[in-house]
Amino acid sequence: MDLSQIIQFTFSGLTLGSIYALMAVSLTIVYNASKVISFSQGEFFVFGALMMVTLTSIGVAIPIALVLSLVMAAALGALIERMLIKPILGSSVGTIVTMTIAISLALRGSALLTWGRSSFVSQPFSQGEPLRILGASLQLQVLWICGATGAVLLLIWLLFERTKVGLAMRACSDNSLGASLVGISVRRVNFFAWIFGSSMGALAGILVAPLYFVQYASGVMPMLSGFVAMAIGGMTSTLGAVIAGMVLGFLEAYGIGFISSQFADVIIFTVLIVTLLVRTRLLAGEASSDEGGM
Amino acid sequence: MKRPDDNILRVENVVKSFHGVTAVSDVSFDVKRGSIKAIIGPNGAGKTTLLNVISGIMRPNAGRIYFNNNNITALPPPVIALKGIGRTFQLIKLFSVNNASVLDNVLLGANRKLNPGILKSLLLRSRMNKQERSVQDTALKILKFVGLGNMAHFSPLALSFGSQRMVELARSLIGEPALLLLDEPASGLNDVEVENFRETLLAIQQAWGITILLIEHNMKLVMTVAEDIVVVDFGQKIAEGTPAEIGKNPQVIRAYLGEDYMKREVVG
Amino acid sequence: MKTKFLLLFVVLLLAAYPIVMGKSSPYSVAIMIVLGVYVILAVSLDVLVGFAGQISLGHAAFFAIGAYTSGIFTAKYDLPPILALLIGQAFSGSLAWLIGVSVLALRGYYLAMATLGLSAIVYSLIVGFQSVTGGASGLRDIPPFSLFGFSFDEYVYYYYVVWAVVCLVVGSSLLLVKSSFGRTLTAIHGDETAAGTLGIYCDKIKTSVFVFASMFAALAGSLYAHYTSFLAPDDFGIFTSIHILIMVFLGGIGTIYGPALGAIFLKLLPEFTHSFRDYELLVNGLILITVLVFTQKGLWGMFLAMRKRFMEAFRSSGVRKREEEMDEEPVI
Repeated sequence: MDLSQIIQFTFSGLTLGSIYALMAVSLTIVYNASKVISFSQGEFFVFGALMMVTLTSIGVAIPIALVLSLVMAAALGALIERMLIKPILGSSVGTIVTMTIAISLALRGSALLTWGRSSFVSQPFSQGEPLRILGASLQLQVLWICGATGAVLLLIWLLFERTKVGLAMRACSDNSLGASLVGISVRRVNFFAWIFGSSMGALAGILVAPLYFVQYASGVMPMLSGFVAMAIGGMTSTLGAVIAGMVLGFLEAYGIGFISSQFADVIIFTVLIVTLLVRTRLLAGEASSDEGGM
Repeated sequence: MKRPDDNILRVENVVKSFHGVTAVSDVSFDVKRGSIKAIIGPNGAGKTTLLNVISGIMRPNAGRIYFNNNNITALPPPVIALKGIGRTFQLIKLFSVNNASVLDNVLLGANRKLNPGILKSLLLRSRMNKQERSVQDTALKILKFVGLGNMAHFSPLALSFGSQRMVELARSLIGEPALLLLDEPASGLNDVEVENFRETLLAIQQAWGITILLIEHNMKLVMTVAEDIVVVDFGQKIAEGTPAEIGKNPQVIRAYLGEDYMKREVVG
Repeated sequence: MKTKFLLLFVVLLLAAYPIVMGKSSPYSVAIMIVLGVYVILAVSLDVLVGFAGQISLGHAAFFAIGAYTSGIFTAKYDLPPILALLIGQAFSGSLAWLIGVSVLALRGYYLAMATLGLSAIVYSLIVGFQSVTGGASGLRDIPPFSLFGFSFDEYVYYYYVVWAVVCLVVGSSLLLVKSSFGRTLTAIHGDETAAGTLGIYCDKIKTSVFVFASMFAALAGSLYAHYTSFLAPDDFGIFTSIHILIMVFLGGIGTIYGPALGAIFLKLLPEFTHSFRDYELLVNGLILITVLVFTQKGLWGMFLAMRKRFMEAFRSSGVRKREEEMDEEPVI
């Protein structure tokens, strides 16, 4: 193995890491607001990517296509939240999980009917030859991905720290009863969370569509990786999700490079299960949250 | 001079803290066999945590619990339950999934007798059926005892709050516990239901000789039912004694009614 | 009482089916074999999800283990199918036990995620270990099931083997959930903390139910392998786990009969809508959404409601008490 390979893997790591960070953040935002882990985020990834492909192929300029795709994904997320999630928020976890799975099936099925089984790749954001750096080749799209991810994450940070909406969302995730008592509309926070979540998932797809072939079922793996990142990053911590996502991306890039990609999957899922177990056992011996503890 | 096994329960120097808060701080007390003892104290004083530690739901950071002279500290809840400690909860925990009825709930308290496993349930069916029938008889009798005989086949969700508490009580009785832990059993009950409950408690004590340790805020109930009281505030035991003694204890008065009251009424 | 007669009637119908249909349409018998396999999968999952309340998206993993164990040992190593099946049972049982003691400490979302990961891991392993499992191209030439020298190579004969197992699975599941053990599952489903204080060893019992359900799933896998003689990993992936869960919900979670109906319905649906393959995902999703939003009682609940109305139309109000008794039958 030589330097150029390592650098090549690093570039893959940046790409994958950004995608996983975005997916993890999208999952975390939704979880924070409504304590729901959505098993359908992966489908927004696919939606974003394939929408970009379609729009650009009919001649829409890339920036406009990007905005349109994001807006449509956001609208889709909003619709789903209003019609399907809100009514069942009080139900058991099993029901909610199954609902988000059902939604993911419906979305994936729609994607299959709309775009068929073919894989698509969309146009890069900027034309040009890949840069050569120390023997490795860096696609320009990777720069876009890192840049966009960085910008979005910064925006999110600003949102949470500096705006009222963000503050409301943080209050909600901390203590939704308390938040509602001080006048924060929990329903509206949920609504915005889903809009953000679906936009971020779609963004991940949009950014990566020029680099990887995407088809109707491509959303499952990014979503699962998002789960892993979210679990490692702390379930509720956006920053943790980002860091874990980046780390995961690099691990996978180096892993695929040095081990076969098939078993890289196994390793990632095992990490997921182990992380969940560790997280739960750390809290073992304590009462569950509904015990109070007076 | 007290003989050691007069005390069915001994709580020794129990400390429990979590999330940076010390909920129970060096609490010790004994419970005499066959008696009714109450734990009282302001909200957040650590009372439920104490019960959680005794019943094994939480492990203490320090201290020991002795039941019938056996060290039961940090044993898992099912083990403690099977040794003969029953418990009810502040927020009623009745089972309503899968069409569980009031009778099903009570029957679930009988695990000391039934203790089923998959293979036993599939292969030793006639024996299980015989046991089941006798336990059902007992369950119905207990339900009648608490006044819910004709509600056996209803869902617990259809019952009033007071009745639900009675179901929880019945469920904890069928296991024939030697010690019963009750967490605010009278909360949410109106005066009539409280009186009904008081009578039931006394009847339980008389008929079965069960020792009762209860957390309670309803002072009238406590004063008329408890033979002995432990007062807890901020996780610490601040007083212990008979209802008469507790009623006059200045520290207790201060804990419940506040510093200002003390200054105005007692000192001033 | 009435239910027992109904069950007997259904069993007789099932026994007569291949005799009636076998000559004219072997395909319809073959379909019933597949239905039988999925009934086993759905019913066993219902015990775990509907009664014990443990969300599992990993059922297909054990389906795969049973199928591939039977397939590999008979196709590649010429073991007698019954031996391969027993190896599959032992393997799936032990693995389920190991997974149960570790993973079932998780609850809710975490458990769903972990079991989803399990499905994904098993799928990846199947595809990855190509030399053993045939990988993505599949495992071929699995011989038909045989017992004591008799080879069940005709659909009609194998049908009886499969449906005998179906009756075993459904029967034992019913016995289990109607017994005091079933009541214990309800407690665990409802509130594990409270259940613990009643003397119920939640961890042990959850694990034993997980093993029970997983071994039946593996059994279904073994039966399936000898039916199709060819295994492809895509039949055993995440979507299959989800598909089985949909069957459970569609039929009516926590009813045993419901998931059996759900399995039959979902597996027959493609037969009646020919260009279905592409619509399958969407339709599955929409069906599940509909069931979740409108009628959590599923197909079985609808059936019960219809039966009640049918009874009411037939009898006068004098016999109403009987109907009320039937409603409270803890069978469902």
